[in-house]
Parts: sequence; C-alpha cells; structure tokens
Amino acid sequence: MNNWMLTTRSELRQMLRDGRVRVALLTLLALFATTLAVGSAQQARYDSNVREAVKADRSIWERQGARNPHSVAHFGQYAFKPAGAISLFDPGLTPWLGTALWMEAHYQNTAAYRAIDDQVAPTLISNLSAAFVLQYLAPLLLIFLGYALIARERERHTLKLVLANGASLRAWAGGKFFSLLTVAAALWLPSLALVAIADSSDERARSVMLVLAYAAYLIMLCALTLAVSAKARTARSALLALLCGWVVMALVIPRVAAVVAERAAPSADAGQFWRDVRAALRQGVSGHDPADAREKALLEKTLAEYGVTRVEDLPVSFAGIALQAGEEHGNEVFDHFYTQLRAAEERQRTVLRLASLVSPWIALRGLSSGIAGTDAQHHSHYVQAAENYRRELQRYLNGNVTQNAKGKDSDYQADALTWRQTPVFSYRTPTFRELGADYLPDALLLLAWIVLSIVALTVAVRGLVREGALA
Amino acid sequence: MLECQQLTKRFGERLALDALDLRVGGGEIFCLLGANGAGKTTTINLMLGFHTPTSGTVRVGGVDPAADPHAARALLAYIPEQVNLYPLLTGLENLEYFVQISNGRRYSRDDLMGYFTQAGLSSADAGRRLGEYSKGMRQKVGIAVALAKQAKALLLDEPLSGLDPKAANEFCSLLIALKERGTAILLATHDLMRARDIGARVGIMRAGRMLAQRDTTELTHNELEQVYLDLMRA
Ligand SMILES: Nc1ncnc2c1ncn2[C@@H]1O[C@H](COP(=O)(O)OP(=O)(O)OP(=O)(O)O)[C@@H](O)[C@H]1O
Ligand SMILES: [Mg+2]
Repeated sequence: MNNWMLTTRSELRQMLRDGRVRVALLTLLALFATTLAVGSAQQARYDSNVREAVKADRSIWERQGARNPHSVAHFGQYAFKPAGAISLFDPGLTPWLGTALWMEAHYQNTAAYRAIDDQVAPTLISNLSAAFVLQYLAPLLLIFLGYALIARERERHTLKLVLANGASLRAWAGGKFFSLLTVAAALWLPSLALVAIADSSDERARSVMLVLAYAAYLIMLCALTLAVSAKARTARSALLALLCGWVVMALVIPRVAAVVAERAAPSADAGQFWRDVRAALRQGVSGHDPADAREKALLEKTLAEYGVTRVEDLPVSFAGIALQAGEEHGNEVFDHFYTQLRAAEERQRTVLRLASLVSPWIALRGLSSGIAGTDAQHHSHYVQAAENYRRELQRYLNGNVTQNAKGKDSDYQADALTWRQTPVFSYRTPTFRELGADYLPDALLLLAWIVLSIVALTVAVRGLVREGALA
Repeated sequence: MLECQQLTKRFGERLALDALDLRVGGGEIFCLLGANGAGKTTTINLMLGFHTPTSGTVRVGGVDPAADPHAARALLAYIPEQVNLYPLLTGLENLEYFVQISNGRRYSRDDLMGYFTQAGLSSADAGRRLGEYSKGMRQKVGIAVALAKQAKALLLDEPLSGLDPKAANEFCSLLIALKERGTAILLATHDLMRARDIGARVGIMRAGRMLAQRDTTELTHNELEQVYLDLMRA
C-alpha cells in the first residue's frame, strides 16, 4: 500500500471511530436520501396533478357548447409547466416563478400558482431539497470533518513524527485529501439515483451533468477545507476561518450580490409594470397612438382593402378584424415590456456571475438550477411558448369571428364542436443541448474555483515544510 | 553513523549552534547534555533535515539530510519528548501506520506484535486505543517503530522527562538493547545519572557550543556532575 492509501485508510478509520462523526454523517445521509425520496414523490404527484388538470381544463374547454368565440377567449385556459424528473433535485426558482399561466384574451399574464403564495410562512423543511442539502449542509459536515485534518497534526507535532519517519509530504497530504473526498463521495453517491430515474436522453444528459457539477463542487470544498487546515496556525482558528468563510461565501455574498444586481439593473415593480402596460395598451408604446384613432385607421384600411365604403358591405366581420388588430397591438406592447424585463434579468445575471468570482456558491446555484431546468432561463422559455400558444389561439378565435360573425357581432355563437378544433398547448422543455451553452460561464467559473482551491491546497501544504516550520 | 562537522546554525542574529563536531557510531549511545537553549533540539532537527545548516556538514549514514531528507529519514527513528500518536487508533494500528508510511512495506500482524512486545509493551495492550496509553507506553510505541523499520540510528529528544523512575529504567534498558543490536543512539537529556548508567559518551553543550565530551564509564556520578556544573558555571 502506498503512503496516501495508508493515510486515507488510517484517517477514515479514525473518523468512523468518532461517535460524533458517525452521527453527523448518518444524519446528513439520511436527510439527503429523504429529500430525494420526498422530492421524487412530490414530483410524481405534481406530474399526475398536471396531467389531471390539463385533462380537466381541456374537457371544460371543449364542452363549452355554442358560444361566442370572444367570450371563450376571455374564459381562457391554463398552460401548465411540466416539471422534469430532475427538477426534484433542485426546485430552483420554481416556488417563486409559478407553474401555470392563465392564458386569456388581451393579456400576457405572469405565471401563477407559486408555491410561496400557498405557505403561511415558508419553512425550512418545506423548502428542503437535495440541492439545499448539498449546497449548505454538506459544506458544514466537510468543514467539521476536515478543519483539523492537517492543523491538528501540526499542532500536536504528529506531522513532524510522520515526516521524520520518512513519509512523503505529498502522499501524506494526498491521503488526507482523499479521506475527505471519500466522505464527500459517500454523501454524493445517493444523487446517482437521479441518473437512474432519468427517463429520456435529455434527462439522462442533464442528470449526469448535475451530478458532475456537484462532484466538482464537493472536490472544491474538500480542497478549500484542507487548504485552510494546512494554512491555519491552530485547528481552532482553521475551524473559525472555515465557518466564517462558509457564512460569507454561501450566505452573505449571494444575498449582497442579488441586491447589487437588482440595483444595477432594477426589475420593474409589478404594480408599475402593469400600469405602464395598460397605459401603452391605450396610448400605444409611444404614448401618442390612442385606441380610437387606431381603430379608425384600421376601419379605413379594411374598407379600402375590400373596396367598399361601409362596414355593412364588408364580406367579413369587422369586429373580428378589430379584435385581432387589438390583439396584435397588445402583442407589440407586451413584447416591448417583456423584452425590457428580460434584458434587466440578463444584466442581473451578468452581475451575479461577476460575484461568482468571490463566491462559488453563486455559480453552483446558477448551474444547478439551470441543469435541473428550474431557473429563470427555462421559465422564460416556457413563458414564451405559452405566449406563442396564446397568440395562436387568439388568432384562431378572432379568425372564427371574422369569418362567421358578419352582421351578428356579439350575438354570433360558434358551433359547439369548434372548441375541439382549437390547437392544444403542448410544451416540451428545451433540451440541455439547446440551452447548454448558456451555462458555460457558470461551469467555467466553477472549474476555475476547483483549480484555485487545489492550487491553494498545494501551496498551503508546501508551506508546512518550509525551512524550520516543523522544527 | 551520525556525524556533524563544524555544524553551525543561525536563526537570524541568534547563533543556535556554533561549529559543532559530533560523531556517533553504530552500537554507541551519545548523550547531549546542556541547559535549556543549548542547541540540543536544533542538532536533532538538523539531522532530521527539518533545518538546513548555516555552515558545516551533517551526515546520517553518509547522507546529507538537508539534500535528501527522505534517504536520511529512512535510516532514522525519532522519539520526541511527547510521542503524540493517533489517540483513536490502537497501539498496534499506530505502529503499523508509522512503520508502513516510512518504508511502504507490509507487515503481518504477527510481525508487528513481535516488535510491539520487543519494545516492552504487553500484547494485551495492542488492541487498546492509544488515547488510553500512558506517556511511557507511547514512548515504547516509538521504540517499536524503530525496531520494525530497523532504524540504523535513533534520535531521542528528552524522552525520559516525565517518566516515573520505573518507566525510565525500563526505557533505558530498551535503549541498551538497541545499542547492543548496533543502533547508533543520540539522546538529548538533562538526566546525568541515567546518561552514565546506560554507559554513554556524553557531550556537554552550552549556547550552541560543545564544551566537552567524556566517556561516562571513566567517571563516577559525582565526578560527572562536577564536570557538568563546572562547565555550566565557567
Ligand atoms: N526555529 C527557531 N527559530 C529561532 N530560534 C530558534 C529556533 N529553534 C531554536 N532556536 C533558538 O536556538 C537556540 C537553541 O535552541 P534548542 O531548542 O536547540 O535548545 P535545547 O538545547 O533543545 O533546549 P531545551 O533544553 O530547552 O530543549 C535557542 O536559543 C532557541 O531560542
Ligand atoms: Mg530541546
């Protein structure tokens, strides 16, 4: 057996003989396995709820009987967001962004059914995800197990004894590193279940990426912990430095960064957003395009197109044309404001990425929720798809009015069978291939952190034997 | 086996070791005597390669420990005043770890147990955690390591302080046994009596300088003490 394997074995033996370590390790493993199991059960329930809801919603839609298409348009439909199997691992922004969109005439709504609205007060347990366990609790365990690995040996002069006996420093430190990695691997192992339950090639690709990202992150944690243990004067100061580092990097910086990002690129307040939208709907985006003038111009244009002078002479229903024109005007307005909103989000994302330079947790969280398909990027993809569908549906309904409602206007009732022929919303989550490039910066940032932490570990370990340090 | 020539070590302005000459052959025990700060530990650290000499040379079995600490340490066993091993491992596991890490060889449990008992430890203690060992027992584990790795030389830094008289006597007998097997032993100590009892040559140091070397077999306890005190006073 070579030096590092010997050291790893001896270190693991000691860890497992410490009752506190056993309890901590088992507790965390149990917690992690539970979050995975509970997450997977919730996931299954959510999926079947969505399936039922989609079915119920559609069946109500199809059985509306003879009705005026425009009142049907107001009656609306839900567009449900399907959750991929691995979203159970990291719900990301899902609780804040909602899982269903109400699609109706005239308005592009924001998603509803946000989990945080249903909770009296968000509790830790209800938000406990596998990602949370790995992101916030695993570091604590690794710190607890690793802070003294080198510092204590220097403090108690066992390191000198080990080296005086001819051990190689590199192999010895490597053995320490590997023992901590072994614990991290034990924590990480249950996440492989994710790869096992993936049921499409995209899910498989995503789950592999996800477990790899967490493996990388855990390697980085082990290296950082050990680097601090090698650098600190005493085990106690190593513990203190690590805990402070954890609080600052995992908790403080991400929150500060979010505030800074919000300042740098303010996202509109919801009330103001809708006031602006309504004003623009009335007055046009420019504010100098009032609705009645628009309608007058439309009428003139339509009459000219059909070569007639009176509305009654039109072969089609002008009401339908006007509705569709209003819809298209609205679309322009929504595109304008939602584009602004997305641009602000994108600027915020850039600021957050800069902040990842000082806290790897930001990069990890971005990467994790991105791969799990629960971040803002995936949400906006879904929102866009739902909006495209809404527009298609409105066009269909308005087209029906245009073709059939001539002279009847709001008295017109479309045939009961019409609703079966309307398009169905079927949303496919984008594959990671399609969006993957978007996450390259986060992946690179995380990679940079691993390299940095391993360099830090190497430097700190070398420092252990600089002239006189052990004498 | 252990050899210093004009060995000098400075820490900044402070001269810790001043042109020290020293030779310890195989089968010989050499005691470094001297007040606190005389340079005993510094000498040992230089032999272990934890310091590099400011000038002069140090050799362990012909190897320069500053240039090739690995080769030098392979020949050495080292026992500090406090042998801090791993409290959660058993005595035998500690022995196994320290021996294997020094030479990478595998040892059977029987072999290890053999060294364990040769070092004066009871086989009944082999499976007990080291945290339950007394100081004397831990020192003996250090001796067992030296036996198992077949060290050519043994460096001991005040191993006797804190041992009760019986434990100290036992420990000295072990050193004599090792000496008789041909091991070169360098022992830093404040204990003049035991230095004489184990038939050692002694070197009396002060402020980094070797003031005198004597063969204790030629001196009585009282004479040795007198020489020591005279040199300290001078
Ligand atoms: N790493 C160091 N840096 C600076 N000075 C040192 C260092 N190590 C030892 N010294 C100084 O070198 C001198 C010799 O110290 P050394 O530890 O070798 O003495 P010693 O004979 O072992 O004393 P003691 O009986 O107290 O153990 C002392 O003055 C000490 O302060
Ligand atoms: Mg000393």
